[in-house]
Amino acid sequence: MAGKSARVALAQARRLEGLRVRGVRGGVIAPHRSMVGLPWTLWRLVTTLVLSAGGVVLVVASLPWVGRFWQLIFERARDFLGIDAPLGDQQFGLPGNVHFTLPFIGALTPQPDPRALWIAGAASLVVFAVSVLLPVRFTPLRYFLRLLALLQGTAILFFAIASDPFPYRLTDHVFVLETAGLVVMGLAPLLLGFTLHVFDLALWKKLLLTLAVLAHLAVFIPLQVLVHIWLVLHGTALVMPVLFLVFGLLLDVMVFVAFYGWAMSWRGQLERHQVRPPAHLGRARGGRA
Amino acid sequence: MRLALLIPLYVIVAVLVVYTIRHYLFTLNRLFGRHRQPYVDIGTAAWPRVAVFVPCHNEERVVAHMLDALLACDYPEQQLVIIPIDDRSTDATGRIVDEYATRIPARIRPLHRTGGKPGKAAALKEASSASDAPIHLVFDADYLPGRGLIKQLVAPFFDPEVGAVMGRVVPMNVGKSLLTRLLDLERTGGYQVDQQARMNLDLIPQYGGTVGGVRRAALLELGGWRDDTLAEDTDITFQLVLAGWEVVYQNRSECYEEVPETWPSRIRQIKRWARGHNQSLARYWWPLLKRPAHIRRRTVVDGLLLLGVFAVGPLLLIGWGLAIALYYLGIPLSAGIQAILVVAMYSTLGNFAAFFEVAAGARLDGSRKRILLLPFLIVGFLVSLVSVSWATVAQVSTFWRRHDHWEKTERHRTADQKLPNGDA
Repeated sequence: MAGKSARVALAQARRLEGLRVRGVRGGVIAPHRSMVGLPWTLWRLVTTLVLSAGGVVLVVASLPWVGRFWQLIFERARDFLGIDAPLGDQQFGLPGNVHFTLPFIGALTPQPDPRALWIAGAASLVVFAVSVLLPVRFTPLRYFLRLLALLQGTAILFFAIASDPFPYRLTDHVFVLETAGLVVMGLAPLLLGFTLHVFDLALWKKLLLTLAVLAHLAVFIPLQVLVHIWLVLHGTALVMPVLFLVFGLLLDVMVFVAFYGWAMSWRGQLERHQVRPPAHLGRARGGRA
Repeated sequence: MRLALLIPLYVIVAVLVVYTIRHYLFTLNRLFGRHRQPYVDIGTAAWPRVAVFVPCHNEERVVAHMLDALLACDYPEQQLVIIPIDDRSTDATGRIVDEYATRIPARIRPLHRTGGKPGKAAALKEASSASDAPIHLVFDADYLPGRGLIKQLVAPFFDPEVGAVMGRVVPMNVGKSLLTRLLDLERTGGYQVDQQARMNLDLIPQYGGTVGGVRRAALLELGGWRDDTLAEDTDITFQLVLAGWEVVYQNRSECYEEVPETWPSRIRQIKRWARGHNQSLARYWWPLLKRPAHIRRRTVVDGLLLLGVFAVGPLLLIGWGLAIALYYLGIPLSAGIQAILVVAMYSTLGNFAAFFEVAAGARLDGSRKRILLLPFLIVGFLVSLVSVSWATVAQVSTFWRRHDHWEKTERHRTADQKLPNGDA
């Protein structure tokens, strides 16, 4: 009996709570934005854990296919980009009997000669000059160009004065980019679990976003690596530091943030399920009927 | 050599991780935690006398809007005095406030400064003695308070332990440029999430000095405003906390501001913030660490992290410098360390709101489309990083000189501009 009365009291409290926020035309009086929060539910906790763990498992399990897909892209792109070098692959293994290969192009790393250093120096100066001449409304671009010129300057300095050879070959560069890309792909479902799945988006949207990020990165990373290869083969090892430090992992993270921002702009379930005014009262002002 | 570079880099990465975790915990708290807004429902009371100070230095474009908005507030007229502080203005600011004072002498009592130390802190220090009202509110001249804002900001002072109150800053010139849109996002993360979470967790919400106030008794106990700082707001926050007063953040108390519309203006603003904040870091890290009996450990940790926010910029710059040096030495960083350095670029500067914090704040605000601009936060990152680091280096090189130069934030509004709410 006690249980029944508690249930009745709870139902009554819920009805009262519903009335408390009911507007005169039957709509919902939304709380001020300073006071809104999100209810946390067991369902969301479970789906967050499942999606995060499932995403990581998916990435690990699909590594062999990802490796083959990248190999395929490298094969096609090698001819398209006119890269005259053999294509190879490197084998990796992970716990759980996961074996996969990552492609590499066995090209020699062209080293800059004095002429290349002078050309790069002149180009850096031009970039710096452009950054000075740009109007102030392009301040972020001005700073970015100066950063590029500065980083390229360090590379020129290294090749001009360092007694030791440049410590990286093109294959090292490719290997680091590919593995860093895979790390980002592996971390993406976890990051989404922490930052996106805790929100009230529909489950299919969360799943869709996870798959979209992974699919995009799976295509983006090999293309990014191929562009790097082409630039190094034409610009010598002199461009490798800038490519690695500015156009490597930073771009992958930007892709992730862009997808995340896109998903966070989607309508949530709470918003969608907000009680509408009765249909006979017509469309509420400023809202959806 | 290898260790000499790696150890400081790992220390820096650890600091960045701590800040990122801090932002994440704040975000979770703001989303799912219990909201602490204990004073927001007070609507009827025996309202105390209030003096509203509006420091103005060449504010002819905006000061009339501000005074009109204050005069339209629903606070009892006989209990409210508005004190515009004309701080050595060379434009028409002085004339404008005098015109208002002539029309409404009982409510507007301007104070004209023609000499003395320049800057907001010095102006407040001098002007605070002009009123014995128990509550001193302070607004920047470009702000537009809503009709009920003064009551909202005064209500927490009925609690005798409250020494200062801060309201939420909401940009009103959002659509002007990419910069204003990015600043709007940063403010959203900083106030809607960060400040409210600190309030919820009973940590140290920061009195921001632009839409808020202090209890005169607390101010007198501390010896008044310090005029040897560029961030009198941060300074008074930590003085109050160390003296045992509470600082309250009221998320519901929104006030509209004009954010910088040009990059040079933004750079000047963030440099001033950095220098002022670093002054407070130098002054209060040790007193805070010594932990007076009334301060809890978690408050100390939060306070130290809050004091250090502008030191993170130079740290990150050093971190990237070390990463570059290691790269040339043939010691490539692991993808994880690289990722932390990169993610930190979305987490540490500006209003110090991480990308997920910004997105959460914008969703809570109910304006989801703004979040599409999230990846562009990095546009402002480099500018902020360089500006903050430059300001810090310049400051260290001059040994925390006491008489720092105050650089005013440029206003973009015109005096006859129609405002979004149609008040002018």
